Amino acid sequence: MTIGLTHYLVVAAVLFAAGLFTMMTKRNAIGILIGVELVLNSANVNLVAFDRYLGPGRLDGQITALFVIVLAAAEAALAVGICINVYKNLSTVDVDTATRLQG
Amino acid sequence: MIWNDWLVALAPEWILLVGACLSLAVGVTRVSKWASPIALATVVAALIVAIRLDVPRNGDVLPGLWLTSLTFYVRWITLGLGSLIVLVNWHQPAANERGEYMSMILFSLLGVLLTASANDLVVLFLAIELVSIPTYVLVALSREDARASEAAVKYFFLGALSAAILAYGISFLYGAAGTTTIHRLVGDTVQSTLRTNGAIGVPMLIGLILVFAGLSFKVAAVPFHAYAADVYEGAASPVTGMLGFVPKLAGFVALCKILTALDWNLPSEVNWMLWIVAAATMTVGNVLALLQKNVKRMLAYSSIAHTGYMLIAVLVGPVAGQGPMRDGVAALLFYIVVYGAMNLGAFALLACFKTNGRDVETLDDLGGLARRAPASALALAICIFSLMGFPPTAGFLGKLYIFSSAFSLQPNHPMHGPLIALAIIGVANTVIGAAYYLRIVAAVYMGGETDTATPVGGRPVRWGLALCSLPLLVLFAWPTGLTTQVRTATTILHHSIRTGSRRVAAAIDSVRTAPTDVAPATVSQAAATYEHHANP
Amino acid sequence: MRTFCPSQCDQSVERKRYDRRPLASARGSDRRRCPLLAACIATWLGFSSTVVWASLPTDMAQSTKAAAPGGLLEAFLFYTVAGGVVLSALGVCIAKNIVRMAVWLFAGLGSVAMLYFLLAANFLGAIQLIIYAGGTLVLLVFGVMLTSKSPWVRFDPPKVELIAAAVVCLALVVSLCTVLARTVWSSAEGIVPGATVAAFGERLLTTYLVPFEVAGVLLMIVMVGAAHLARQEE
Repeated sequence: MTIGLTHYLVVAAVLFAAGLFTMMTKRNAIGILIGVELVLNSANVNLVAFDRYLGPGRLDGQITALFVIVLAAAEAALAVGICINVYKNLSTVDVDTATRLQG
Repeated sequence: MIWNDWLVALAPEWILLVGACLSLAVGVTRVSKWASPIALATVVAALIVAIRLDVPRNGDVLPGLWLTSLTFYVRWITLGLGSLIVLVNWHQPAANERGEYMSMILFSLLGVLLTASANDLVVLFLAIELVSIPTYVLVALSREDARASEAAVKYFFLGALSAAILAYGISFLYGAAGTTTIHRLVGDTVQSTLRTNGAIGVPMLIGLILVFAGLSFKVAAVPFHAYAADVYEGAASPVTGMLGFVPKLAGFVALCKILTALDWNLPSEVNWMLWIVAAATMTVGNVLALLQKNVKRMLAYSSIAHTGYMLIAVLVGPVAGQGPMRDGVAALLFYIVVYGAMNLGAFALLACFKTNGRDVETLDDLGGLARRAPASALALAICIFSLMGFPPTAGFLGKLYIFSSAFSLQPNHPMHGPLIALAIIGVANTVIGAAYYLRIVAAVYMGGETDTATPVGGRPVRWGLALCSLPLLVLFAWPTGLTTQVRTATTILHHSIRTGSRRVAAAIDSVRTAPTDVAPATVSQAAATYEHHANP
Repeated sequence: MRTFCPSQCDQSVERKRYDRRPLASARGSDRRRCPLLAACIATWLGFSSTVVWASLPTDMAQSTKAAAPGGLLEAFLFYTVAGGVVLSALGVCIAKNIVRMAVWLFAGLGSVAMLYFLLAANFLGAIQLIIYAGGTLVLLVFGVMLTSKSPWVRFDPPKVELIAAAVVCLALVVSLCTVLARTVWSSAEGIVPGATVAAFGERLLTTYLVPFEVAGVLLMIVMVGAAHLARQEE
């Protein structure tokens, strides 16, 4: 009953699929961002697990994961900025209500 | 390398960074209208430095950055077309936000330069995000219109998803190779997971497919193309001209880098996936463009179609010792410059005029433009003929190179038959494309008179338009200048493929760890040194 | 992405069906249940972090054993934490309320931090808790509060779409897991030097100096851009 690399990769795969599902079904901009965060976390779990089992002590995976976390924080900040911007113009963040462009 | 060396080798990047910060700083002062000249001066200065820079065309500068001949080529075209982008965007932003706006363009160009020199998956990932994130802001800032913020929402959230998928793919590449250094993806720990019987292992395959999916957003390839039309329509025309070129260039350069690390020795699954994506991208782009009345949407779908043509070249891959007529990567590098210029030119024309106080967007808005502004109309016609691939323009040469590289593939190449089929699909698509491009030209030259089209944007946009269209004619008459550069740019790819990147990687590492003072400047020297060490 | 694909369906008809509608009956219960849920998650996170921390070797600074505490305890810890991750990921998928989704995401991020501790990535686990669960999530909740008139916005996509997305994602999970389970990884087991913060910092400023700087530039761009986009018109 040893826990190996594959166990962690499977957890990451579940997170990835859950993130994609959230992206596909949620209409709210913030909801979509939550899906993106799940996918980014799945990448991080992968990176840290590979780092632990394939190249222990070299920290490559962990540092990559750190940069992914930085990027996630940056994207969240920008997302709030863009949401406020569109909210000023349209008074909603519902992606479907924003249909002026479609046709 | 010592301190001075990398400072010099990365001079264009530094200049862009400093210029971007400067224009940000100017933006908060009362002289914010100076931001545009500062941005132009920065890009031109960086371009001059990049051309005159006398450093070895091969060598690692800092950990994670490796200058190759490809880097230099990408620098030149990015900065050259970047100056045109600045010109076209000159008067677009309101005076009080010009500083932020211009700095975003410069940061985005900086991202392309870093993508071209990245030799580490982390650097590559962050550089691609450095290209994209300013474009999200630019789309939202580009005009005071609800449609612009809406386009920004769509662009941002799909871009964020693509970044996440890219990160997930990169994690698999890292897991398969045990390293994040790109040139050692195959070279480093060649494990059972990586290659079994000469084929790429499953984790690498998953990683490749995911990375390709992530990059598909940037280049607007088919399963992930849906945002393009809405975003291009929502953003102001000058920004759209940039969106069509800068992220696409970064995406293709990143793809080239990763595929080079794998010796362009793609497993048949990836080959077929690329084949299907290329065929679908061309067809979907052209067919949907036929249905549009709005010129911006039409050009958006046309830009999707052009991604399809470029994917043919990616699929052909590098052919050693050949020019763009046979070498797929050289054809791609040639085509992307021409595409950047003609696409930017077409959008620059839309930025030159307004009708009834709104931006020119539909075919009717363009009606009879030739009578009111013959010079601008002629420039547009050159760009459109070039997009169509019609002879007196460079667009014709670009398409010729791509298709001929596919046709002249060695018969023993695994994708020989399918690629010829793909090139035939490409030629058929060019014919479909001609239909809607001709509608634009017809509207300009034969459409009814619109009295409402008024010129806006001042001189810089017109200069931008002229500088986009004239080179298209010059390049047709004298393509040697560019093809020589393209041929030089691809030497490193050829070299790494001929010697096998594994050996080159080992050689580079042996040089790095060797206790010598003088490091060989080029990979060929490094490889020679390595061979000498291995078999004295 | 179906959401962004205008050409695939007539959205104007569809929009009416799942317009934002705060359901009157669900409103009250949501208000009561959300804090309860959050409290449960916080308790669980506290409990599991204590257990994980207690089980880790004390001399983390010097070395970490490859198979951390080993054997049954490790398996138990892994399945508990991984169960938490999967449960909260499913919670995010199923939740129909944006605030609930954020709460589930909080649980998920916390559990992922526990996974990092199990993988002997202590520093990263702490970063995950501080920046991700602490910073990013708060930002998200701010976004919800600032932009939505009613925090209890619900969205019910049509059943067909839900089922299609579920099928696609399930197929993805199953195929990924099958492929991954079959792969033989050459793992380098053995005693490894512990990932100290000092080693981390050293690598960041040497081998990873370039990405470090690029990340700095990226954060500046985001700061300027977000502030500019969100500004009030004067």
